[in-house]
Amino acid sequence: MIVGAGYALIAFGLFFTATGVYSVLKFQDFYSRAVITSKVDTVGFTTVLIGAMLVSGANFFTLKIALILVFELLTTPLSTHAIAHSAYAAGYKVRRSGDV
Amino acid sequence: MMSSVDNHPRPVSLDRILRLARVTVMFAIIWGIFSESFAPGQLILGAIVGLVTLFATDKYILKQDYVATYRFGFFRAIRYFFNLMIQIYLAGFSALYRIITGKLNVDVVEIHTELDDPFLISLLANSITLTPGTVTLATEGRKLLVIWINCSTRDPDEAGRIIKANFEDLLMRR
Repeated sequence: MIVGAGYALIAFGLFFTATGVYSVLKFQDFYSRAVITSKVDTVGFTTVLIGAMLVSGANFFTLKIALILVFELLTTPLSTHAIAHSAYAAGYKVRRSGDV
Repeated sequence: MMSSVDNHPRPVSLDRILRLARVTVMFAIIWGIFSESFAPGQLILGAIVGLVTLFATDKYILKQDYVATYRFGFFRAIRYFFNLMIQIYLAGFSALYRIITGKLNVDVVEIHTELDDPFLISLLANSITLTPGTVTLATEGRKLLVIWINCSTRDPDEAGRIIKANFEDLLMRR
């Protein structure tokens, strides 16, 4: 039962990631892409990791994944922030709806 | 800034020893997880390596007291973690709907925070970036520039209320 729920979560996480990849190709604006990529990282990856923890059960592997999850939550925003900040500092403008 | 942090030798207080002990226990447990054994020898080795790393970080990298700089209780961290996960998934579904339907209104908004500790402001900025739909662009004192995928208002107070959710309240509680 728990293993099944784990596999369902992994599938759900992969669905999130696939939507993210699709939308990175769909949207042309840089900032939209940056925001969407961060979503793929957090929601998709986190869900896959939680699913893997459920599938694995109570053992050291699960604890290691939990540590990876914490490190991921602490470090992922840094890369997103670095990319977005450098674009902003370089003068990239936000393309508002209605702009050509 | 933390007023208690300076480069002078600090008096050894019970409070400091307790906080150091807590961090050491955490290091020992993490070492145990990595070495896949909670045998006493492994835990002691983990505590020693953790303490050496902590003192080396204090002396050569951070150049101040780590334990005093990053004051964040263990239980507070756990509560914050679960709250963060709930917010990430709530915002995740909303962002997913917007991406599929293509209803994006991306804009940069400026919000203000009541926090004054740089570490807590970094945590808030980190949480905002983790929440799907918002990415922190820059911080300047108590001002945060945020890219917002669903910009409904440019008013700093109103936008701040929506973007910060309950992160700020949780961070302000000591």
